[in-house]
Amino acid sequence: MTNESRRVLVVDDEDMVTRNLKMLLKTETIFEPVTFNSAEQALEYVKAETLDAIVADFIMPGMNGFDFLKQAKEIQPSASRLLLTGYADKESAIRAINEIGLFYYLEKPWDNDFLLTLLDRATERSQLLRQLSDTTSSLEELRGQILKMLI
Amino acid sequence: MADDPLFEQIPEVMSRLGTDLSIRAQNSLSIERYGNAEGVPCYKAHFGRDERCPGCMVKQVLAMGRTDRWNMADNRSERPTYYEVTIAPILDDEGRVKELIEIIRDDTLKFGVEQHLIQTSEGLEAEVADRSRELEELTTRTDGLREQLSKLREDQTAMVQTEKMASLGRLAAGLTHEIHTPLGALISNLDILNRIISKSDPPDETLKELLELQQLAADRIHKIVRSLRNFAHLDRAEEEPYDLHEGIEASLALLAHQVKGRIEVVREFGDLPAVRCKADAINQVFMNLLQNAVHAIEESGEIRVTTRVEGDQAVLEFRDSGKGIAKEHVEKLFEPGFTTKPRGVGTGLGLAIAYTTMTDHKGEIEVESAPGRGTLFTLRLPIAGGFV
Repeated sequence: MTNESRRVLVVDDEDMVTRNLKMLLKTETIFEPVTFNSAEQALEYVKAETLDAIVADFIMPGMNGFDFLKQAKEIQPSASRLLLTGYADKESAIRAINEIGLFYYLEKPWDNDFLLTLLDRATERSQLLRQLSDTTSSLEELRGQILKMLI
Repeated sequence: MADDPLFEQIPEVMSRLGTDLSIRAQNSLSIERYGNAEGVPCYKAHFGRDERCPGCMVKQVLAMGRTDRWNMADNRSERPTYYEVTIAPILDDEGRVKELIEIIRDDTLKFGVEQHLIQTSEGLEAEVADRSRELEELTTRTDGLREQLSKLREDQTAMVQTEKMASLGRLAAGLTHEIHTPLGALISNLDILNRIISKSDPPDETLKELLELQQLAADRIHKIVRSLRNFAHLDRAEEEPYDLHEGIEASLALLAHQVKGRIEVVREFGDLPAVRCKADAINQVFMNLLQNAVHAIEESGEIRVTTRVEGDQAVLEFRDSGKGIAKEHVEKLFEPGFTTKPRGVGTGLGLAIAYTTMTDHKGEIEVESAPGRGTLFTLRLPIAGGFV
């Protein structure tokens, strides 16, 4: 199950970053990247499609990465959230980790190997979470049926 | 008296008196002033008195047979008048006084001027004394002001320096953020290219070489941006008790390959308690100072690190036997961007970072150096901390 393609959304207002990350993720055939240059557009996608990881830049015009990930968490709590930021200050990092349940706070410039390993774990976690929730609900269903049979 | 031309022509108010002081004769000036007063005693004629004037010297003149002169005041009117009275005896053949010549000179004007001069000079003296006092006060005040001025100048210099550092910090913060994004993409792209090329068979050697060079350039940019970020203290760690000796040892360990066999490191460590500080930042100060010391020693030499407690401060000295710093460079030493090292070796930020780190910790950094005599950096850190 965890070997199915893993869908990663990247949002950064910089085209050079999104294009680069799309290429990087495509070198690893397991990832299926989708990129946006605006948080508002990315949020529409989060509402429509199931994702395994969401990578967001911090400072963007309009909605920033922090608010974007907060809303994404409401919509798809199972998708792992990563903040990839050039603005390195630990206070905002701690706030992000605590308030958005961040999977990882990564600073630019990043190391490709490290990022790929991170995304591997992040997406695996999301898929496992979803499997768990599927299993739990089918168990609930089974339990309901058994109860019905007993009564 | 027409029979005595001298008596008439001397331009003074003159009378001839009998020894009983009655007026026997007057010259015309006397008549002009007092009217005809023949037979009237002088004190009555001249001063309207019924008896001799107080201070009259006629007795002495009669007794001694010698001329006498004195001053008298006439207080009858509101504004007193002053006279100089001269009585000259005229002797008979046996040397007895037979008659007196009296000259009365109105001295009111002269006296007034004298009085005025006396008063004025007294006033002047008082004024001079006042002025001297004022001058003294002014001098004291000027000294105080001068002192304040020099203190203000020092404060101003310090404030300008602090403000300069703060605005550079803000600039660095903004700059690093702006650079991190394209730098991130650049480094990542190079890495992807490397992956693709290493998979191609046979690998294109020219491309590989070019990529290596690109990688070196990107690494250099990354290094500079990291220094800038440290300078701006973007990654704030917590302040906690820290063993400074541990930090010095760690920095020395990192420099071991540059020191080995060439430089002798002497440790004179005192009994330092743990000091509250941001260990990462302080370690960077040690690293910068030690790195500079290593660079300053051209062939062989010594680096001496001394630590001790002074009051509530930890004092650390980093002394090297290197080539020293020119006087004109010492002044600019803590300015960001100032370096004497060749391109690529120094960013010109090391000592600026050290300066900011020390002032942020409410500490101090001082330098003492002369060409050919080595360099001494002294750090002072409050043991109790106090990072701002």
